[in-house]
Amino acid sequence: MKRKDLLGLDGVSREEITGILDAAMTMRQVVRSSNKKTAHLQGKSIVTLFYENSTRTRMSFELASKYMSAAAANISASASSVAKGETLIDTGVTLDQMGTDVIIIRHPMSGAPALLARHVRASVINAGDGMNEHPTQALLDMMTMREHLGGLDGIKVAICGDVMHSRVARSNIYGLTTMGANVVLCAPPTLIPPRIEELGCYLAPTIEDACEGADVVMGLRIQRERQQKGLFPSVAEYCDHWEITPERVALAKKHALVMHPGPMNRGVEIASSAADSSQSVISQQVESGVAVRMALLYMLTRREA
Amino acid sequence: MDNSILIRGGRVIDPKNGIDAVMDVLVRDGKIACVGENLSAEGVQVMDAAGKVVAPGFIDMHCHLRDPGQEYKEDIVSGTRAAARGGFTGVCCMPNTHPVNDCAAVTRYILEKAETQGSGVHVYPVGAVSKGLEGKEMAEIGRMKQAGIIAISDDGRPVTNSNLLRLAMQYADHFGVFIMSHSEDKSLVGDGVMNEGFISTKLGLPGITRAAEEVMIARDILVAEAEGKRIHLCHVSTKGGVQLVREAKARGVRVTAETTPHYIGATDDWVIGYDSNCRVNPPLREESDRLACIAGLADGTLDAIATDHAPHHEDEKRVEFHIAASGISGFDQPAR
Repeated sequence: MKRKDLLGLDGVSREEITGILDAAMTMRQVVRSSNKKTAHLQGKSIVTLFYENSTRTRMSFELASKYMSAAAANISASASSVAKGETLIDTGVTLDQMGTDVIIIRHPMSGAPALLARHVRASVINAGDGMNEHPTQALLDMMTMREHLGGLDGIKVAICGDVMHSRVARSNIYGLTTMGANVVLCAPPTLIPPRIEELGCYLAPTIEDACEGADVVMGLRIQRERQQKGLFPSVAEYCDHWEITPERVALAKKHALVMHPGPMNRGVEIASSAADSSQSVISQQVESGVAVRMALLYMLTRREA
Repeated sequence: MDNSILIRGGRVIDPKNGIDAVMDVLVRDGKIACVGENLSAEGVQVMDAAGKVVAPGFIDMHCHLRDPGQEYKEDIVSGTRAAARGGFTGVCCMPNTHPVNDCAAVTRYILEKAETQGSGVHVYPVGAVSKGLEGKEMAEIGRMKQAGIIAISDDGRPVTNSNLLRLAMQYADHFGVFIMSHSEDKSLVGDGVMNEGFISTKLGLPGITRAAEEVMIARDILVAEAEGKRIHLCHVSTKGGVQLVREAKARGVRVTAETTPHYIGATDDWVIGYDSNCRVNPPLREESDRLACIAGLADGTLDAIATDHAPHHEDEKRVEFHIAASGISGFDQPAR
């Protein structure tokens, strides 16, 4: 891999994505084996720098590092000098000086990983920045889809939920459209950012239209605070019009996948009966996540000059 | 050789006297003695201005000198020096200092420091509309006028109470002072940090709708129209805003308006890469807005280009875009 950082999937080529997904398939054998230890990252130092709460993404990166024998350390905003007001650049330079090879950052503000990457020698992986991107989530989503559907070219992926505030949506739009998939979005108009279709996706007027003939139906988390901010009137009304239910999934292809990046708000953006159905691959997405992150860490630490 | 200077061969632009031609300017004893072609250079110091513009000193009707209170960003000394470099001989400084320029004592401080420590650039202070820029009680406009203010503004914190705006218009008019309005509906701005459009969607940055500016421009115009008083609209940035001003002028409303170098020279795609130097309020808009601002200047809808020079410390810009201080340093734009 030639790149130093992975800040997003915007501009990442089909060949690069395919390369990461192929490597991840190999890494998954490690995750599934009884002896989860390889020497791929022996002698490497990896830090997760999280300015937002996270359980699964941070654990996923941490386990990926440890399975490959890296020295892994975690910094969370509340426990670090961040709370004392150190700037992001200063924190990054400090981590550089400690010999860190890869910094994995999650930050509530879009563009923060890009700012960090410009000022550090270490590779930077964006683990979610504001409403911008969450590239490893999209990679693990694509890995899961590819395995079940045989490929990504020409498939229809319906993404339903809070598109406006979702970095998962943006990374999936970039990644999936690059791979030849058709992405259809569905949400209340107040949760659709302006001119998003110019990124190469489509807007469906209703969730029924979005699900019709889809290969994948993906939910996005609806935070309850969005209602308090006046973006929709009530959870009940949201569910009437936009919840992913078995009836709506039935409009999709027979073996369509039900996906969700988690954490789910059951009974809001997705009904339990859909999330727990035989078509759901939500728990498998988590396994793909560790594999994708192992592949990425390995490839970034083996940069070609 | 006396102390005369001949500025030779520049493009002399002097709108007041209808001059736009390659000419020489003779300066004697610090004053323009003669403007003409092929003036004699005998016994005088010659400054070659070929390929350059020679113009009367500019006046910047909207800037921030940050003094008193935020001298780490800028002070009257550095600010007036920067203004001189940009070709300005007069600048109007906004009242959002610490303390606010909402009383005669602060006005006098600014003028005295400019007089004794400034670069020679004239400083014309703008006083506050309301005490502490809080939008509640009117500031002592009469006393500030006596001390030397030339206009009033709650810049950056627009007067949301329309009745206060109305009363301040009436009261200030008595003293020959007019309101400069930073027209912005803060509820429509919300947590936005850049123009709302394709670029904000792509970057995942919260956007600011044009309506935030246009709603307040419309209100300001309507209040001024009802009162028959004068209003000046600061830093117009949108196509719709320009059109509102155009229509108001056609009706005979006593409205004037400015735009800035960044609204006629830059668009929101400059934000790509999260360059915090492009964080400014109102935000950089789109190409159609940029062209509308230029058209507005060309047809007289917009009366002035003002810099809205709003310097910050480098530390306040070397951070995440969301928390970067909002403002662009504009004094040196004409020199570029």
